[in-house]
Amino acid sequence: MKSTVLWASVTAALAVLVLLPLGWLVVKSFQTEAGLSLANYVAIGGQKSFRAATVNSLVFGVAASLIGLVLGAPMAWAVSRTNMPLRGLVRAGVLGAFVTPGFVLAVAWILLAGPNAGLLNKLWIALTGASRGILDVYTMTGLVLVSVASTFPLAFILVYNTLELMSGDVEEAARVLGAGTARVTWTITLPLALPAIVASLILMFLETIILYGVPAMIGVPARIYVLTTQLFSLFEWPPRIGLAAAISLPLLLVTAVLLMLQRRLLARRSFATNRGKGGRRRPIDLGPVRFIALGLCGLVLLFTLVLPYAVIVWASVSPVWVRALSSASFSLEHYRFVLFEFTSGSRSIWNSLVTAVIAASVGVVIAVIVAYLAERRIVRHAALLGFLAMAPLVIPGMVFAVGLFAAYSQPPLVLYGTLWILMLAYLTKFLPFAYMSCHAAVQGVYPELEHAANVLGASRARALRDITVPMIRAGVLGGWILVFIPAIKELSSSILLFTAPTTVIATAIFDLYQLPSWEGVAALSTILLALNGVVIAAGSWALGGRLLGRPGGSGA
Amino acid sequence: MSARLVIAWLIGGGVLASTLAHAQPAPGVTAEERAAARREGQVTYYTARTTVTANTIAKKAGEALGIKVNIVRLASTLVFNRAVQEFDAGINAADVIDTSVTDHFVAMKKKGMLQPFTPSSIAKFTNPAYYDPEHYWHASQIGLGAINYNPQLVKDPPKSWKELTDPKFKDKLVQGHVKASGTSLLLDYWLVKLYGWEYFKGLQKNNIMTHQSCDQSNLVASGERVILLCDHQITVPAQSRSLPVETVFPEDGVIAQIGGMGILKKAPHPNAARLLVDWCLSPEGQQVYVDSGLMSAVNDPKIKYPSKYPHPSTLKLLVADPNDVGRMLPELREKFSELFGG
Repeated sequence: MKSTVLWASVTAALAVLVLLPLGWLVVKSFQTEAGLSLANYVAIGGQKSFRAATVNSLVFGVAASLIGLVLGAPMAWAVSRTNMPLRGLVRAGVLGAFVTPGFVLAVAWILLAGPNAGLLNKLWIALTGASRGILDVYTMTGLVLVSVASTFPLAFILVYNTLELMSGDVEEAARVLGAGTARVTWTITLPLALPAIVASLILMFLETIILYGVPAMIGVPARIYVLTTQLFSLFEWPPRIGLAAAISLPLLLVTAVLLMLQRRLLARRSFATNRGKGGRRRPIDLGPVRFIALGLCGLVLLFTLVLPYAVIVWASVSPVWVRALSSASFSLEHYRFVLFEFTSGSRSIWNSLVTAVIAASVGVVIAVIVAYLAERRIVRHAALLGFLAMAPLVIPGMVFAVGLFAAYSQPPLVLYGTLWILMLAYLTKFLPFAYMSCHAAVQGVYPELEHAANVLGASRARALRDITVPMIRAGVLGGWILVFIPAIKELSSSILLFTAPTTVIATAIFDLYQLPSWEGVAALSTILLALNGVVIAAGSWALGGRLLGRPGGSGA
Repeated sequence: MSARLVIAWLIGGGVLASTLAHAQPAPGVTAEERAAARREGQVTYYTARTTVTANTIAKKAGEALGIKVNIVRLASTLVFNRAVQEFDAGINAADVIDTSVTDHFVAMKKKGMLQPFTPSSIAKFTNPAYYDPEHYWHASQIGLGAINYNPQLVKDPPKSWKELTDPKFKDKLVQGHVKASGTSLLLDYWLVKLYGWEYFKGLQKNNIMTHQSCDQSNLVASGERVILLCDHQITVPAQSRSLPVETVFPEDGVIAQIGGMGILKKAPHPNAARLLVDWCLSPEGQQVYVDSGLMSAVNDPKIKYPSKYPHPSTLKLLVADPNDVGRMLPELREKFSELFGG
């Protein structure tokens, strides 16, 4: 009885959050000047440029998610399971890459690897006397690699969380029976981590194909157009929102198919690995190889975090970046400008914090309930809830914002002009991240533990509170961070929904980018990273260093 | 009273009434409107001007008029899209709107989004193309489409658009995309009109780089590409940050980008809005626009142009017919994308 009420209220909440804006998108996709028709779909299907962009998006998405997995998953394993030195630092580094907005990475890599003026190319020419540099960011390879820098942390986080939640018993048993590290990893750890690996591949693919900043800054000059850069032109004068909606809805179908595929692939296996006992795992001794592992992790972080931020921080303290090489000097002028002179600077920081904190908190509550209902199959059609929670993933922020605006700018809910509409945008847009993290956590808990509590006379609520909730705490906090961080840097939906008093950090950075001031972008980005660093450190401290798991720790 | 007298009264009254109804209100702001504006106390200004220019307008107009000017600053199309969205949703947030694209104002007038207002400087407008005959909008500025270059790296800058297809500029050029940049759309409309699509094949041979926005002053200053097809006004913020970016006003034509300014029909602060528009179109207000590298639609000796560049009256200005641009729009999008992607 109670679960039906819960199901009904969560369904209602999800319906308002997800279906209301999506419903408006559906309406817009069929709306033409002549009334309702399929004209928008016909027009899109007939465009050669749209078909080319679809192919490019596919290549881009597949390449970026595969490379992301190849980088992220082994790093997660090394940090979670081995005695590699500086594991905490590597994990912090990955989080650092994760919090960096894609368009900041794009600016950084244009400064580093522009074919004529890039810093690394100038260095190469100075060192070798070559006539040309060796790097060219304006290529498909450049586009993929820069995007990977902002998506591989997804693979790391999902795989890492799963590894941390996994009880060490099975691996330990195999080891006792004489299996070597490679064999244990290959035959036990890897299959058990498979749901997270597949989930992270899907997540990275979907995240990559809706990226806007990087394809706009790197893809367009390389003449590589993807769906999002095609979409953007539909918002230019005269705006053709119906066409934009007609592009977005098929994307939603792709998500549905991918998610169903994921279920089909994994349906027959039981992945419950969190028995609640855990206990400390003995880290795998890599011997001298651990330094090689550290070196490889360091190399990944050098290109995804250290070099981009070095160049960004350098630019933020250079009076004029283009002369930074010839006349080295230091100035905090750009920080003073963005914090005190630039009208939206300091206000945006406060607004971003408020909206991101609320969105993340509400998001994990909804995510846990939905994940629990869906995983335990407590009510019928629970899978539908899971799909609803995942659906916003694939809607490009800009298009989703159009639906949000239509949904919340007229009675009964007039939220436009307030911080609430931004909060709702972030909550809905990033609910899938919270859901994935919480779902993976709930999936890892043996239902038998709850059943045991029930048998012993505890109510379902009590079993939840005393057994499930403590066991999924790390996953929930991981989910909170997974909403908070993208929310605080979200640009594409904010740009349509903010007003003068409700400006946020991303819109302020965008404004600076249009000035155009690379140095101002650099200064505010550095502030954003510092802010995220503080929030992550605080979360980590609150959990006793167990945010997103703890090296060598267990889920119990 | 005789019937004839009644008829005479009626006719007289009717004539008077119709005269009143059709009378153009005197240009400028009345004393009552001025007092009402003070009571409103503030005005919300949606603008596509640069941050520095918008802030200067807010500060100077605020001081001169005794009202607070709230700025929402975005790129032209975003300002316009937002105003239309809000109008469709029945939200009355904006008072005054200021973008770089005349078409926006033609469309907003057609949608019934604007209210007429005649500024005091109306007699000084130099060209009837610079305002709506019914005074629903006026040009707040005229952008000057031109060639930008890096003076440290280009010793012999091109003098005309025509020259850019010369092989000596191979790997040096950068432009915006017609699908994403209003400036590029207008530039390319004229370049096609002047030299045909053959010209663009020449640019393609020269391996021109295409970005979405045409303001690539950072790229030009960094030396990544050194010659840019954009406009004069981007050099002002660039030079204020000591970036090496200069303008060539091409011999074969400087392309006029007529921007507009209008008052929303349901402006929450209508009197303050009139006050702000009147100030922006006055010589004092126009000086702020001119200082940001734009040309004024108003001719007044009080407006001072920077001495470094030729006076706008000496330029060969190409003013487009918006209907013709609209007619060519599909062809421009399609052919441009074929050549440069997108």
